[in-house]
Amino acid sequence: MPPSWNDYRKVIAKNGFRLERSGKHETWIRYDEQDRVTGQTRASHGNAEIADARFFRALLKQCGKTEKRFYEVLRGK
Amino acid sequence: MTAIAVAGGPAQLTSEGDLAFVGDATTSIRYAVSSRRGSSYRVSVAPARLTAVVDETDEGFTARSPELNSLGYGPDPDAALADLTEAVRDYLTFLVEKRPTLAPEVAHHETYLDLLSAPEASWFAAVTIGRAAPDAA
Repeated sequence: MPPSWNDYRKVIAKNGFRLERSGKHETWIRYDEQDRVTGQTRASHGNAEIADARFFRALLKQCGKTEKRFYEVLRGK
Repeated sequence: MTAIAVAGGPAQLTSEGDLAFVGDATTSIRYAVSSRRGSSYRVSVAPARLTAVVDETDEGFTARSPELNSLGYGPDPDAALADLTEAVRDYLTFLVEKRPTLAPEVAHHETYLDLLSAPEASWFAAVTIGRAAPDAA
């Protein structure tokens, strides 16, 4: 079953991303321990499935996660 | 006869014979047409421009900018590029409004803030069609 946008939000929020802007899409910014910006990603509003697997992998690459690690974080490991 | 003059910033000739701008100030290029009535227009070009890499996915296309690690998505390449442009605009606007400290690995993102004052159509110096993303992450 493909991940949903809520799954994506949950994982990135656990990995230093904070929601900073909300327009057509949400802009999430990743901070390090010194509160310095280290990256960015976006999430769609709502909770649709991310059905396009290649797009999902592009998102994973953008947020610096492997698919395996994504699901580990999602399960709370 | 058409004369081209470059104004607004220093420039130098490269070994390939191209004219390259020096420094990071916004540079204006004036194209002047020499004629009795004459006409000219001025174009502002941001000093740092982006590249876009478009990849086909299972159900659409991604467009990403390696310089900012921005990502767009859409049902066709044009829609993906438009989404990427919006992603870049949102991110750069955040940087301008919040003025956060950038970690060293993304410190170069600051050089792209001038894009916000340039026409969006000029943001990408090149758009390339990349290879499809690998099946395994």
